[in-house]
Amino acid sequence: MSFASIRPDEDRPFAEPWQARAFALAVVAADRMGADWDEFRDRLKAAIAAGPPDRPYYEAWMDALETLVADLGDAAQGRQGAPEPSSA
Amino acid sequence: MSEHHNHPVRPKSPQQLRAEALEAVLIERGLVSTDAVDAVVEAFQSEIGPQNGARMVARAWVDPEYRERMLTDGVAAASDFGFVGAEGEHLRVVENTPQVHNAIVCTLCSCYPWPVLGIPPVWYKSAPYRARIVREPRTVLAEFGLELPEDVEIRVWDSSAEMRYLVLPMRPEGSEGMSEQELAGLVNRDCMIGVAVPRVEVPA
Repeated sequence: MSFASIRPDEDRPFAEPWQARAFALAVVAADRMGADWDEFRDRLKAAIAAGPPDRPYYEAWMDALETLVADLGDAAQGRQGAPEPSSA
Repeated sequence: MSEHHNHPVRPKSPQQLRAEALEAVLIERGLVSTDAVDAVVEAFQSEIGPQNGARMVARAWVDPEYRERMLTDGVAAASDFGFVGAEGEHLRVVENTPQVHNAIVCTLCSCYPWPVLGIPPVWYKSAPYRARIVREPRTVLAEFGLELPEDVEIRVWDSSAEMRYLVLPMRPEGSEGMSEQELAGLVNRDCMIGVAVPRVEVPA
C-alpha cells in the first residue's frame, strides 16, 4: 500500500456508517459494563494480532467487543439498576 | 444517525449485518441504548476532532507560555480548552524543529489522542502504515507529499496505552500577520500526525 493516493474512504475515521456504530457500541458497552478502556484495547490488540494483516480493522474491533461482552456482560446485566455512565 | 428506516441503495455487507446484529443483542441485554450510541457517534462527528488539536497548536504559536505548558504537560494544556476524556489521559506533545520532524503511529492497534484529534483515519489503522512508518519513515512521508531534507532527523513515536502523542508543527512562513483563529485554520489532522506540515497558500 502506498500513501501517495489515499482514497477518500480511507482518509475518514469511518469508511462506512456501520463502522461508526460499531465504534460507538464498544465505547458505550464498555462503560456500561464498568470495563476500563484498557480492557477493551487489550482485546483489540489481541484480535488484530490474531488475524491476517489485511483483515478489516472493524472486524477485529467487533471480535474484541464480543469477547469483552462474553467476559463481563453477565455481571453487568446482573447488577441492580443501570450503572451511571461515567463522565468519559 | 439511525439508518434503520432508510432503503439501502445496495445490499448490506456481511460486516454491516454483523454490526447490526451485535447492536441488537447489546440492546436486548441492556448493555447499550440506541440513544447512547447515537450520542457517541454524534459527538465524534461534531465536537471531537482535529479542530481541537488545531486550537492548541495555534495557541502555542502565539503564546510562548502556553507552548511551554503544552510541551511539559500535554494533558493540562488540553484541559485548558476542555479537551478531556477517554484516550486523552496520557498526552505528550512533540515539537517539530528545523532539525527534527516527528510522526506518530500505533504499531499494535490504533491508539490515538481522541479528545484532541478525534478518531484516526482508516489508513492510520492499516497494517501498512503501522509497519512502514517505523521501517521507512522518509519514504512514507514522501508518499504523503512531504519531502524532508536529508539532514532532518525523523522521530516516530509509537503510541500505547501509556502514552499518546500529538505533533506540534512549526509555524509556517507567511503566517506572520495571522490571528490565532486563522492560524488554527492552517493546522489539519495530518500536520498533527506528522505526515504533513502546515502551509500558507500563496496566491498565484
